[in-house]
Amino acid sequence: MPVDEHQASGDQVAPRTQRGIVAFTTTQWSVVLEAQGESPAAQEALENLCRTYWRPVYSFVRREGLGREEAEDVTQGFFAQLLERKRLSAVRKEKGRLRSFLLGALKYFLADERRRAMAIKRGKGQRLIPLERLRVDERIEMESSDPVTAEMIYERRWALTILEHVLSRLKDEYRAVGNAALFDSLKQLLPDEPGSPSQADIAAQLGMTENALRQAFYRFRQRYQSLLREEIAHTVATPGDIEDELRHLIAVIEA
Amino acid sequence: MGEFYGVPRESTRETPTMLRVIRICRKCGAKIFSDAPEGLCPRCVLKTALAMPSEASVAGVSDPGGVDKLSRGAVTAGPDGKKAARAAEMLGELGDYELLEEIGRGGQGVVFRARQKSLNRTVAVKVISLGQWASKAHLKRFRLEAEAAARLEHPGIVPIHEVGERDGSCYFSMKFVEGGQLDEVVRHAPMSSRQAAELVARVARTVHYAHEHGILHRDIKPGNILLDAKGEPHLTDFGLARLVETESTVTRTLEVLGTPSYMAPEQAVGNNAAIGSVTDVYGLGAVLYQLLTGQPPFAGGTTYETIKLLLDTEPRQPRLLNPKIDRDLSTICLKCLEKDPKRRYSSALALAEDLERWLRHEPIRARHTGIFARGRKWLQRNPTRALLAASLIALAAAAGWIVWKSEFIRQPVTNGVAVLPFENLSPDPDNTYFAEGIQEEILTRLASIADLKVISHTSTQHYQSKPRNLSQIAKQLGVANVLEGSVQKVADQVRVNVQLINAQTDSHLWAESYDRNLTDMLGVESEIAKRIAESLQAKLTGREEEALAVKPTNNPEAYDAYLRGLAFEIRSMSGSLPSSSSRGLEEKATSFYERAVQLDSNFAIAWARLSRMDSSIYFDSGTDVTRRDAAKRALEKAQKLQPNSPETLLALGYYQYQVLRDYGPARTTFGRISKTLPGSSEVLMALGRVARREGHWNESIAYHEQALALDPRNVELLIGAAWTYGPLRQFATALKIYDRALDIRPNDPDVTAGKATIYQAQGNLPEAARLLAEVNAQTNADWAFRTKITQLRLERNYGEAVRLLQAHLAQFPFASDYWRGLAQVDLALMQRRAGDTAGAKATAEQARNTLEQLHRDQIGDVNLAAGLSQAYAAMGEKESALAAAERLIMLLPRTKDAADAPARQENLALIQTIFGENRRAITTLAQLLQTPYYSWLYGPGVVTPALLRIDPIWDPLRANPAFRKPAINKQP
Repeated sequence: MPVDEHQASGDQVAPRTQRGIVAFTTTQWSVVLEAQGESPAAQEALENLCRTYWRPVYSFVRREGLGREEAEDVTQGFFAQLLERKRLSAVRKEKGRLRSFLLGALKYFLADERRRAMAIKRGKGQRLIPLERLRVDERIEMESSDPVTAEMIYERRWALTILEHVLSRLKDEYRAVGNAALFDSLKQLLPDEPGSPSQADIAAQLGMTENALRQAFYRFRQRYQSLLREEIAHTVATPGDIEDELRHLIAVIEA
Repeated sequence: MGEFYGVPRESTRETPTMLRVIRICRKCGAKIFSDAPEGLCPRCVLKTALAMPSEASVAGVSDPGGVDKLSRGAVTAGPDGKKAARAAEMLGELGDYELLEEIGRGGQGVVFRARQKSLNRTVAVKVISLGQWASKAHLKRFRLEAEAAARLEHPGIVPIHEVGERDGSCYFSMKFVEGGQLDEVVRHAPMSSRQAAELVARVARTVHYAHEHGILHRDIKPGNILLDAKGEPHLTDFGLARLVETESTVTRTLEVLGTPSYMAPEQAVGNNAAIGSVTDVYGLGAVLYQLLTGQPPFAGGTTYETIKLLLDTEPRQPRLLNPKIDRDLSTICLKCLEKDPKRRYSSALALAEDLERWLRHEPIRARHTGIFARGRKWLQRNPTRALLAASLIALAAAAGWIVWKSEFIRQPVTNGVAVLPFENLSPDPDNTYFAEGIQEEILTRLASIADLKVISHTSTQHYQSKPRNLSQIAKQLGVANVLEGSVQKVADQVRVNVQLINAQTDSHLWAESYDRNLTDMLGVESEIAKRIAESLQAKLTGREEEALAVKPTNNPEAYDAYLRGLAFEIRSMSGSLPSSSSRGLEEKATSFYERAVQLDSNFAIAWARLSRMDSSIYFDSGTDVTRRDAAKRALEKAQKLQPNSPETLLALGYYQYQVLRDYGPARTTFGRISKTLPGSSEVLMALGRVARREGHWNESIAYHEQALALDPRNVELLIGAAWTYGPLRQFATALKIYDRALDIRPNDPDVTAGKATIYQAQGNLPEAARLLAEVNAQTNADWAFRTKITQLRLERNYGEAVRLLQAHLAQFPFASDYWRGLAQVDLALMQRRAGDTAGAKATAEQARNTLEQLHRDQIGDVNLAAGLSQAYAAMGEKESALAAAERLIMLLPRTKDAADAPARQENLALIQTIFGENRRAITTLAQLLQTPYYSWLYGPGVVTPALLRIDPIWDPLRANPAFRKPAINKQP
């Protein structure tokens, strides 16, 4: 039974914002940098960013040899002090990307903590970044670290966090207009692995023509790209950095 | 789906993560870990997602699956198919446009290739991202600019089709030029000189066309020149630079425009009046420079640095960067880049023609000027340049956050009028006050008209009422028009004659005679002001009209008293008066204002003036509580009657500044007033004074310079400026300013003395002596006398100093014990130095008794406390002296009054030196050398290493090795 063309052609993706294209000045990291963390909007942006990117930080800390609970504490502590006034002077000097900024700040923080060698304090309650439940596989003991590797882990985790986010947003968009099934099918097409269902198969499955599916897939990819750039945009200071950061991300994933 | 196997822990050492491997990707062979999003191989996902669409079938143009028009659900190759396909390509939609591809990004916004739905054609759409600056005013201005530019039709100008606005973003559509931005193109394929010259000549002619139609580009740079497939240039983004110009921040302009490398100096400084077609010529020159040398003429690491470079330095000779560049072509290029707009080509056409001459191998018109002649003179003469220098310094101090304060960069007002002193034709000489008062009143009303530039009375007071060299005077003052007037008062009848003259043409714009009863006088000034404004076509806003219409009072007697008070106030400020006399005049003024409000308690302006007078007197005295309360009371009355009038606000500002010494609020208040009285140099000067007290010396310079730009012949201002440069130890500048003041008021004793203190600070005693030669015991001018005494002390001529001081004391009846006591202290200390210990002790005792008594009643008075400490010192009473000096320091901590507080440290150092506490004194002095402040010993100069070396006061310290340390010993 042919599905309603309107739906099948995937026009019903959640409306995209014009803002993503035109108002770079409101991406989160640039907001933080511009206000140097001083405005409520900047505080909020920074919190959002911390909430999003805590995992690479956590992975780094773990790779540095801390146990699970300790690593959680340290991660909390790191973000807590980042969000408090005193560390924002570091933000003031920062001109670049959130990724490198966080890594740098994290290294300093760990060095400080090691020096103090006492119990790490959590944030004062209100500033807790809700760490999502760690997946079972993440709770594996790490061997003692080699600094290069910890950084590699951070980078990789960062890249994957972004990719996760993109897919997750994409999924939400499709879900919002009732196209969850379409999303699930289209996402299978992404890796383009031999042996996975072909476009023809999926089209038949969903009751679309192959052409319609092709176009839907095209839009899907375009939207993915868009969201990917947006996610990256939130972590860089100027539009010029987006492409570079994207290249970096690709390089990290390819490695 | 695929095979599945776990990996033993040991092998995880090879991999970057320690997570479990789910499987191996069949496409690329990479291990897929458990953290892979959605369980998909991230490498392949990225590859696929980011790949450009290759299949033609995606476009939906041809359907290999066959055409099935009958099936409802089928997507076909027909119009529906095309539509859906196009939907696939879109990045977004903006009104009538489907955005297809991003083709460029600049500071202002993004350019897309787009399809215009209604006409089905490809266009370019530029979306301006104003973000948080998308105010209605901006958007409106944007539309106006874009619409104006849209009317231009020229092959070299990218035509604008449509202008629109949506959700706070502005966009306009224009012809899509296949090709690219000039800078991109040139990066890949550099041009030859000839090609560059041809291109720029063509663009110059295009620009000239726009100029002829009244449109300036204002943002000519390689990024705004598009090249089509044939290599023809097309200019785009006309007038958009205007878009983000506001009366406020230049920051925004710079941030949004991106690099200022191609910006003309007058744009960078914000001197909007100087921006004209020659600004675009500069831009063309910058483009030519880039094409010839591969670099923009100025490029610093940051915006701020680039601007500094472009204002301060000459561009590097193109031939240094590329020796193959022809000398003539280089000359043409540099002529466009002259800092002084008048030295550039007068029009884009002139530039084009010279380039074309060069192309034809004909001799060019531009002259080869010497390298050093260029630039420097203009920079030095241009006051706004000094202004920016000051604000740039302030910026550097402000921790790297680049904010151009709007107050620093203003648009000079175009309509200017100076009100010359009114002639008094009355038989009764007592009525001069009347003439002065009327003049002042007219000035005040004129100053409230934003569109007019008005010269203060201080600048005009030394001119005659009916001078012959009007045009010269007008030029000196920087205005085009002059108001002459005369006043004749006989009993109750008043006749006022005024005429407004255009000084350049010496033509009468308007003349009028007013015959009024004293009771009817009150509306006359407003009428005159209004007519002046009309004649000069200065637009009056509604509020200004209202304000002008308000009669200050209906009671002619009250008004009369007010005018008298005004006249005394003016005279008290005319300079070169001993403090006792000026105080006398101030008190007279006060009493007249008091009378005025007595007669009419609703006379708001009189209350305001009264408050100001009281504040000023309080400021000088320091502790007169009755004055303080009087100032407050008068202020409150004024606020109740007219809370928002400029006069009341001025009174508030001075109250905050001089009574409460609350500099932050004072600054805010004066800042408010400066917006309603934009032509007023007085407010700017007040801001400058407050800034000094806050320790913001460079800001103070900026305010003074700005005020001077408006009112260049104002001696009070010049002195104020000199008193700021001096403490900053910018002696060369201070000297120049004193010279300017002397130019206007030759032989003014106080100004001359000020200049002398600078020479003293530099250690140049002979020069200082020359300037002070005329000062003697009869000299009534305070500063002059004090400086002379200091000079004598520096020359170690104590005998003469003592003699002078004694004669001075004898000669002048001091208004109060206060001044007498302070003068006696000076004498006592000098006698001590001269070796007359007995005499010193006697005098000191007298001084101490006088001052102690006064001090009991006025504990907060700084002069008294200082004098007292010195009196004790002169008497050899170490404990009391030190205690008094230290108490003084505690009266007001440094943060409260940054200009004055260090002087108390200086006083303490003096006392310490007298009593042998050398180390402490040296430490204090070392610190003072680094601080700008108002010195009591050397005022209005400041302590310098030279002074430390020659002043006998510090003799006891010389043996101490610390005194010889480089910090103290460096030149000068």
